[in-house]
Amino acid sequence: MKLVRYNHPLRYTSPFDQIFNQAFGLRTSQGFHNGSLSTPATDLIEGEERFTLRVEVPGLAKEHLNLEINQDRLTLKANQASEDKTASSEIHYARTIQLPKGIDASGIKATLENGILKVDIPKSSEAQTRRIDIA
Amino acid sequence: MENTATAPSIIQASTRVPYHQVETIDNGQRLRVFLPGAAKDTIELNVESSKLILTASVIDNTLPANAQIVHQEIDSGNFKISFELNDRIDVEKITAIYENGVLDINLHYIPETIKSISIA
Repeated sequence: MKLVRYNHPLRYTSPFDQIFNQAFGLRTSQGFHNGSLSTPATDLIEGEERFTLRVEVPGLAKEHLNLEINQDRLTLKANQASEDKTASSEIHYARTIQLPKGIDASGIKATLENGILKVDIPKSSEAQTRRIDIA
Repeated sequence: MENTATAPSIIQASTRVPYHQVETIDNGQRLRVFLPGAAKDTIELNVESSKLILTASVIDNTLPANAQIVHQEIDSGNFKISFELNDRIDVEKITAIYENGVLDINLHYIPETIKSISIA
């Protein structure tokens, strides 16, 4: 019998560590996947004057992203073809979000930084909460 | 993670393991680690003994005043992961590039030296 030393170039510190991490709150990011059409993880935050949408899009530059608004539906599409044609390095995202009522669609602005797409969605002046002083 | 009363955090004080991939490159391997929301200057990559240890902080984790979370899917916390390197990796030649929330860590093998032994 021939014995061959198994010498993988790297491995996780310990499979037990991963189980331990899961059990005690050290979680693995699961919000995005490569190699297939997927749904990116999203947060929606409501402020006094605007909504802020945050979308995880790591690995994508702004030229790979397409953001469209159709009435009250905001659609984000992302496509990045791989140079080496391997499925594992291709990225495809798509997500449509129903926007809340009372927004100013003309004032929507988006920025991309460190793999997070941040979309500022201003509320229309009618929808903003106004404080009324009592005389 | 420090938190202040005036800047409530969306994110709870916890640590998460980032999504990552391993790819084969010429004479080595590449670790792709996804760190969305982490600024480059918060990323620390250290080799301690035979372990490669990566930590990174998410910077935009505060809510504006009087804001509330309507919907939350993005995992919370800063990033931390470690890998054990075997002795084939040249620790002195590890390089890393961070772009668009993804850290590419290039690990190169130490060239094998084959020495012929003459048989007398």
